[in-house]
Amino acid sequence: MTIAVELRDLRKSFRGRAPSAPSFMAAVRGLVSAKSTEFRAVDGISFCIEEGERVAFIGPNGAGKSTTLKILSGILQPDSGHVRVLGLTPAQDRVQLGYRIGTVFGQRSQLWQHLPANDTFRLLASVYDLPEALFRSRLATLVEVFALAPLMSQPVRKLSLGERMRCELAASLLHAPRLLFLDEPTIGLDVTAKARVRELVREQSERDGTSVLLTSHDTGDSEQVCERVIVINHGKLLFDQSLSSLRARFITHKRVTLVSDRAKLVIDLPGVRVIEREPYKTSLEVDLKLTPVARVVEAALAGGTLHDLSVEDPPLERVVQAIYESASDGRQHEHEPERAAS
Amino acid sequence: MTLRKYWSVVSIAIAQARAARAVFAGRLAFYALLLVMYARIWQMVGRQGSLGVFGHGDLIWYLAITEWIALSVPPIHTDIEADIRSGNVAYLLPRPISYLWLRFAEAFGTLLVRMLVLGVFGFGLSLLLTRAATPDGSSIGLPSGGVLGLICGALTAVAAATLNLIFCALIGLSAFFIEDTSPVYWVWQKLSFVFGGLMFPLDIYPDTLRTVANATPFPALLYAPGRIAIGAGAGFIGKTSLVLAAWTVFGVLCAHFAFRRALKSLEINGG
Repeated sequence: MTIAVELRDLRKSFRGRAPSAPSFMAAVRGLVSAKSTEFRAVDGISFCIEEGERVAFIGPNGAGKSTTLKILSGILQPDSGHVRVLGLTPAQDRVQLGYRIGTVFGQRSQLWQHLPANDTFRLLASVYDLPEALFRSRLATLVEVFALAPLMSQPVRKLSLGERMRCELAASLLHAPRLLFLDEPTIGLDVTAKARVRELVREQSERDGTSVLLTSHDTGDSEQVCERVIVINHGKLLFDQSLSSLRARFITHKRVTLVSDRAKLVIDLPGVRVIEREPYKTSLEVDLKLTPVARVVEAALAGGTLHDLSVEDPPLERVVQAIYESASDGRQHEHEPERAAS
Repeated sequence: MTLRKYWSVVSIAIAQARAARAVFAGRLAFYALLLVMYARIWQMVGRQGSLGVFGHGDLIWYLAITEWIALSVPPIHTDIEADIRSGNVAYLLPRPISYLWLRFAEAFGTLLVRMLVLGVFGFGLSLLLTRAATPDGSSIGLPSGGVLGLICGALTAVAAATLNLIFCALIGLSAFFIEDTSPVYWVWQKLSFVFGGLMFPLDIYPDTLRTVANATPFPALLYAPGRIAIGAGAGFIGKTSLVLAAWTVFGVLCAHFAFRRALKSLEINGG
């Protein structure tokens, strides 16, 4: 397999003003001689991504994800370390790299709001120097895959968020990038739209062999799109293994919410704890080591008719916290051998 | 290929500006209010014989040209500042097109549409206002420069507005270093109005103020196009063309180097 992204011992620090004491004199002194402080955003990160691989890159706010992505896309120059993306050095070859990567930021838009998405696609064809024939065939494929035909003539401002995100994805894939950076691609979308976007990204990657590096605070994005998870915190790599390993090791509990025709649903199973109860609605925390979710659902059905059911993972912060605590305890396993095997 | 990219950006910006035509309403209303108000003022001042060498019709045309430029220039500095504050610049920088000239091409497209719409409106209104102000209401209301002066003034105005856009982009780039461009723009705008002669031609300024103004780019940005429209010799038109060209080269070079410096700063500060 060819390597799409290669990072070795990547380091990046920023200098900023040291906080001064909240006094008038300190403020005056700060005007004359400001002390600076160094913040290490990325501290010795190493990993590789193979072509066609889909990797979730997660961590809490301020963990160093954005800085790493900016280094990978050539916007920032690292202090030290080795960086190669699709055979190029990003900071030196930013323009060349621009032709080979695609980006989708859920909170940003590259579409022109008052115009149909088709106009933006045509502009991007020009920006990425796509010949007319190639643009037409590529667009036809994306319109079919992303079901964009009914949206092509509507001004973007009239599209729903889910429809807009499908157009954003198509816009980012128009020049057939070999590596796609996705930053919170499903933020703000409803459940159906989220599922559709995740499915489209996965299918696209499988069809074209596009590598994906996804950052998201929604664990569903990581679970349904990626096959591997990299977790960082405080600029350090904490975890780099397959998704199944993450799930097995750190997602040990699920939150199950049941709406039944019984005012009070009683489920007596090991590892199942009631965390919230309202008439006809019960929220449970299920320890997966002791009881699978399916067993809980069976027990609930045995106790009456279920009108609604939802199963949620613990928040990402809790998973990351668990990984972080594991690393702090010195129980973090070496990830390289497992990467080689996976 | 590179120029084609930027032309595509200009084209789509023109289409977007046309699609969002509702935003012109306020601008047109303000433009009309200014012209009507000053037409009345010049008429009253003219009756007292205090307009100096200019007829009140010429002063209306002068204002129509200078305000046309001032109202047409889109706020590219706030777009750049917003990109830096929101982090959107990180989304745009990895593309195979210069961020600075992408934003410039976009603003230039908007500028062209604004100049067309405001120009047709402002020139039409000026014709009506100057015609109505003649003693018998029969004059066709053209400025002293005639049709040729008006055409030359309009062409110079487009060049001046483009130069204005370059300087505003330069102000926008300052956001990479100081984050908030509003104080810089505020000073720039006020200097531009005073030294550029937004309301009155520089000819009626005191000598010292006029000398100071002529050492800045502001007269080329506002005064010169207005002055050409109300009658200036071929020498003045030639000199204005050279001055505009020189300031444009200066502005483009400054913007280019400021952007390169800004990218290094981004690398140091992380945006």
